[in-house]
Amino acid sequence: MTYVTFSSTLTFPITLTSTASTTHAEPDWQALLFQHLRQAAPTTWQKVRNNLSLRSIIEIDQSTVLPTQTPRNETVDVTPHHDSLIHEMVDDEHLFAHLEAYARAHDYRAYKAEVANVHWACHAPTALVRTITLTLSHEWLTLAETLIKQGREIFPHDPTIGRIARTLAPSSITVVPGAAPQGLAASRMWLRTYATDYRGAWVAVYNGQLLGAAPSLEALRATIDPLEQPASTIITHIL
Amino acid sequence: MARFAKLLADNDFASGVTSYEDYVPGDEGDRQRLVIYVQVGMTLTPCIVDTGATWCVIDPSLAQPLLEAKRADYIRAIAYEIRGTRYEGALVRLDLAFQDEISGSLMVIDATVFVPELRHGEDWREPNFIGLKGCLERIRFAIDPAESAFYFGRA
Repeated sequence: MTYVTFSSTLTFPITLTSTASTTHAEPDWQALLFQHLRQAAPTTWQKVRNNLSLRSIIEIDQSTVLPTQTPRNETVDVTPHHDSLIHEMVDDEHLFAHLEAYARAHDYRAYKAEVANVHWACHAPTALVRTITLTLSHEWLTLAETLIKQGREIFPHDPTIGRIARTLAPSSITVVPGAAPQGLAASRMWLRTYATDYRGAWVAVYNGQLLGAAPSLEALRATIDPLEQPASTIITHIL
Repeated sequence: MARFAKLLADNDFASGVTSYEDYVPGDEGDRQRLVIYVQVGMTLTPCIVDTGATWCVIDPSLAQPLLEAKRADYIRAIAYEIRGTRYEGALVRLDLAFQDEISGSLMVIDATVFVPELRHGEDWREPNFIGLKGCLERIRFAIDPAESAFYFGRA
């Protein structure tokens, strides 16, 4: 079992400065605590300072109970009756304003540095998802993969992050038997010769002969379905 | 075609070979391409091989029915630049099959591809691309310009 130890400095009104350390390399306990805080005390949570280190400074009233030693994966009872002083807000829009500005300027170095300064456990999973899609949209794939890995560690049960990870997981390859194609060379020759006559249309060509042409793929399929041999019929949109 | 097929197969480099063209059907320009025919679902269709492209790009008319049938994993709200124009769309998992023209066997890769999202009535006017990430990065391939042959195999 892993224990997290908080060292606390108390004044009135209670100011709790907590630092967490764990014998596990993974940062998930701190993440769980932050997640719990977000759900149990959303107003207080908005006042949690997004610190560069794994340290949060929370000002809460004395009715708040935070255990000094809590087993990993055990629920922490943090239920403030009302909130007191407000610290710097965790502001997603402020973060994205910066990130989007760096992305628009193609300033990868600044973007990466900004992302590295974010402690994602202090944000909702949606903020990380938004950052991952922004990162992918600029084809910064290594950074995106790093963020996905962090997301899997910090939000292991988030369905969207799980889906993103699966979408970008390494591809699998299988080799299966199939029917040897017929007349592909003749069909390619047909396209080379006649395709420009069908600009804008979808065409199906089999064994060097036009099977059909239509303004949409759906309409084309309705025309050729009975004849189509998938391994040997070329279907394309003539641009 | 395929004078190296046995050599590459015996050495476990390639499992298949297909002819490639140097043009996109209907393209009246003089741009040289490397175009192979790939099965997207059950549709054999031309795709430009582009090792400089991050993602595969598949025409939404081809991809959408497959995605609806398969309930594939996806990432929405992705922007991707294709030939100088930035498009909105999704990254999705989709089976692409490279067909061996000699035996007919298919090398099927569950690739990550970009599928543009079109507004109602909008027509897609870009060719299909086979890109690096989520596809070419996972396979071996070689070309023989003397025979316009594209060899492929799983890495």
